[in-house]
Amino acid sequence: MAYEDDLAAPAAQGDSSAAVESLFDGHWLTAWRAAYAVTGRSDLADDAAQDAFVNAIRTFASFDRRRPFAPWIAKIAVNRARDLLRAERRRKLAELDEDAEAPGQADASDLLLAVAALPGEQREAVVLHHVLGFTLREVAEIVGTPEGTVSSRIGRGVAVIRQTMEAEHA
Amino acid sequence: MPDTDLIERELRQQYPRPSAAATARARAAVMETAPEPSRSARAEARRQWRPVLVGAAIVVALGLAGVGIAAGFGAFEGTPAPPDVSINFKQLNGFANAAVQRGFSLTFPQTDVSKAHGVVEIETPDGPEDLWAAPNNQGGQCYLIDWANDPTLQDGAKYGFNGCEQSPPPASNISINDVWVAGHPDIMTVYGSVYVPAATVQITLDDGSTATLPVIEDLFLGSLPKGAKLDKVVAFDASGNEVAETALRRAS
Repeated sequence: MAYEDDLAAPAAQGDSSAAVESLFDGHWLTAWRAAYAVTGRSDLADDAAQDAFVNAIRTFASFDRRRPFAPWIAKIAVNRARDLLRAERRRKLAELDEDAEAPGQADASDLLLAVAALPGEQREAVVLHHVLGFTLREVAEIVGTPEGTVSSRIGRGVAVIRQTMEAEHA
Repeated sequence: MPDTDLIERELRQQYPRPSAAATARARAAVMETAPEPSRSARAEARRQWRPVLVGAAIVVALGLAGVGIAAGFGAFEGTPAPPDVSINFKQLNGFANAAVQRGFSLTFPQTDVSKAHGVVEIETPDGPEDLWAAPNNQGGQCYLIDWANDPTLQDGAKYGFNGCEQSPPPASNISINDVWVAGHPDIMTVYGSVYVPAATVQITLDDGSTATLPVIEDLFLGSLPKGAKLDKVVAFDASGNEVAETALRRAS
């Protein structure tokens, strides 16, 4: 893992505001990027990641503290992002495609545009593994899919990114 | 054809990050969720030494052999704040306003953004790390710490974290903080203020090793290896006399 999972330790010792603050500092970016991988929109990622953190702190007593915190918060963020995206689509399906914001839309690099263009399941797996540093097993747990499926989604996603990058620079 | 390692490196660097405003909103919401019994006493204790953090995070590195020390002492001091740094300070003021509107008992100062300037720059494994400061309306300073090479956020603000000096000062006359941030996972940043005239601070880690940092405009900044644990900080004046000391109060 790229991040310091033992930041959860202070929280395990008393759920103090200091511990909550440490958890937030250590894992906010992970939660937000995981949510963004699902939604592709900053506004929805903001809401999903914030909701995920609030819910995580409220339910921290149920968290198995022998396990790393990062995959847990990422899973909550991914699920919340999916909920928000579904709700958004139900509300304004027709407008969504027009409003959908590719990552870094205004000044996105070819690489980010290639990632944004991936099918959602591939994009989630690629970001969770290659951006956030989760293992294949952790990604499988976060997205609720068998490890083999995750592996193949990542492989296909990276292959498409490579081809896109190569075509852009040909 | 780009290899996977290259794609991964570039993706980690380029993938979007949350705005400072979104981070501040989420931080406030999450902290409101912190269990009440421990909030009161523990949060009050933390206010004695830890400034308010706003915006995205970052880390420090001080390896006694390789402590991040001011590069070109004084060369960075007085550097006018670039637009993205000023925007970050403006957002800090916005957060202070929001905190008041939400009824937070702790009042946050307002910063004079027009006077934002560079204080100290140190070298870290992730490149230069800068401390910017501006006076506030409570008689102290607010500051921003960022990495010079980090990108400007989509909202125009510099990616970094903020804090403000305490008013009134703590009894120890030293405030110190150690911060690890996801954007720089191998570094822990240590920074703080000395509220009496001082030239240096000596930082002692829990293994007994020490490092000395310069105090510039009452502020200090250093960089430690991830996992370093601070034990105490002692401030000295220009003659080497001890003028203040504080032991760190850790959450655990």
